Amino acid sequence: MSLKPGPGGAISVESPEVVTALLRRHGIDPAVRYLAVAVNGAVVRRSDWASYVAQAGDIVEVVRPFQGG
Amino acid sequence: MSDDLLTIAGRSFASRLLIGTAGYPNQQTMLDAVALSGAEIVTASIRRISLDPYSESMVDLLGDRYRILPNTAGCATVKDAILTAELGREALETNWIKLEIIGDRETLYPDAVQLLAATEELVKLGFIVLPYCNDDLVTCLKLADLGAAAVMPLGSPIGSGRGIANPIAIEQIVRRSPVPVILDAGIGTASDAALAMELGCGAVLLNTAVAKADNPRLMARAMRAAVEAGRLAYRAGRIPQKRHAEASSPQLGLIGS
Repeated sequence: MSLKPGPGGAISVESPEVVTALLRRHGIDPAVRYLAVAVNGAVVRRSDWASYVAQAGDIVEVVRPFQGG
Repeated sequence: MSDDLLTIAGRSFASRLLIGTAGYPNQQTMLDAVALSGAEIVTASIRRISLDPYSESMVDLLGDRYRILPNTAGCATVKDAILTAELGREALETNWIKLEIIGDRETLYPDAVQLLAATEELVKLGFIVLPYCNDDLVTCLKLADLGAAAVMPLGSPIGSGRGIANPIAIEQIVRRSPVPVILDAGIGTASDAALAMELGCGAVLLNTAVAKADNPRLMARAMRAAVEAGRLAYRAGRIPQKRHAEASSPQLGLIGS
């Protein structure tokens, strides 16, 4: 599981894949609370993760809330 | 004080202290300090997750007990701020957002032009927008006009601990703002927080002053007491300042005269 804030970049999609599968392949449990996903700068709602297919070349952001002021 | 609630966008809070969760020496100190502060609203950033091994986020520990207010800290453009707000809304199931758009990396001063544009857009998108802004009356009034639920002028630069650099400006904003004024940024110690409340601010948002204090738990208690004391003093109505002394004891019946 990978839930610390990361300096790394967004995920670049190499071949078409639904969001849930893409998350799992990157070691992220899609059931984890407080997770949010954006594809190409647009939020994909959690309820759509199982059906939304990210296309090759898409940029996927995976975020969570962390400490902040 | 259940008779004196802070109301933002129709939600009421007994505490007038909002506290940040960043920069504490360790997680337990953060949790204790947040609890001791009495805050009901705590702030969080929205960040990419890493590929490192599992580590709890503050939200796993605080999310069920506090209203988590996501911020757009670090954003420098309207576009990034809006996406961050939308991600925060999705992650936390809240439409509240602390809007922060930094215009200068050295001073971390807000970019007023982009702040206004982002506020307008986020309000249209259904957000309850709490913008972090300069201590500028005109900017604050425009933000309120655009639908900001509160305005959050800085006391002095973020993390500087220099207190309220321009109390007269804060007082003017309080007097004219149709929405609650939350003093955000610059608080260094308890007297700064008390002053903000004495000037009439609805609340204080702080982080570094507690997180980086020698004893964050004690400072959290100090801030809680200061905010409460300052609020009481504001409601009580202070005496005017005078140029000369004015004896408080009776002037008649003096012995030896």
